[in-house]
Amino acid sequence: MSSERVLIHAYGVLERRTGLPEWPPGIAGAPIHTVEVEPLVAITSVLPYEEYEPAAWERHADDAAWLGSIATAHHRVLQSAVSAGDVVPFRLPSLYGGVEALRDAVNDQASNIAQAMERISDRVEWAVKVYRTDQSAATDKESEAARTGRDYLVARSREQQSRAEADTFVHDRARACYDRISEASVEAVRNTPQDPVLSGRREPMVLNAAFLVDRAVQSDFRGLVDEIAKGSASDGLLVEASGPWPAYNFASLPHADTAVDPA
Amino acid sequence: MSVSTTTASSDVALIDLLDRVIGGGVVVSGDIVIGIADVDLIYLGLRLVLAPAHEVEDSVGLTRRRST
Repeated sequence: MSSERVLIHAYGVLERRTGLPEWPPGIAGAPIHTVEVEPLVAITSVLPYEEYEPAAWERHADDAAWLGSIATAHHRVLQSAVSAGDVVPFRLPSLYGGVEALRDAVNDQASNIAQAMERISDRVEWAVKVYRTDQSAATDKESEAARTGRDYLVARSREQQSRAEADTFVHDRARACYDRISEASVEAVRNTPQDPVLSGRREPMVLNAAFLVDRAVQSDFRGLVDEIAKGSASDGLLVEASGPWPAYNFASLPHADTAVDPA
Repeated sequence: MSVSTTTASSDVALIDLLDRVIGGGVVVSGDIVIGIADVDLIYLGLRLVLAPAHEVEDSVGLTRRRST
């Protein structure tokens, strides 16, 4: 037995009755081990301490490739878990000094995890993003073509007004998409739209939403999004869905256990 | 426009992964503690690091539009 110091990384937990998938390689190619923490099963890998201890995270604070490879492996494992059954994903980083420390941490959070498990039971996450494709290049040309200063000002003011109207229209349409899709889901959340610099897309994102969807109605859900996508194209909206994701957006609990409204 | 359904990790944008694996999921702090504040800093730092990869083409367009 090697005396090298190690860390346990936990990807998430499953219920014991859940079937196990064929696991892909974990972080840094480490194999996946399951650890029973009654009544759950934790999905884990053993990692070398020096490379993943807190100081290592600080060292790699601006290293997108390093964190990207961890995030990718973490997701890949959870993605294969969600294909077999429900999984409560753990937020990165999720590191423990040993199996007993992992058991203690999971037991400490047992009620939160149970709540999350109940919330996502037989459900998966779908993401829907809406991009704006109607960027008004035409009006730019129009104002450049205006000859006199007065023409320019009139054209410019018209352009600003029509832009404001177009903005309102697009955001109303995006909101309508969200509302309609929400009705086909159990829960819905709107996240901040990604900046074009981060999304890598030229089109501005106007909706970045996640939906918790019953596994049984996924094809209906996709059908609805597809229909909305087709109907929205002429409004200058590009609707894209991806999924099924592990329920990352619906496993964290801060807003789930707030006081119940008397109404 | 058809609905895309890829969540295979090789096809997912890094920002989408980070938003989920660092921004979401249940928090189960172990004994190897990396404070949430530290993680948030790493996350914000990474968002900045990720930006330049896509910045060049877009910033040209934006600059031109702003200067008219």
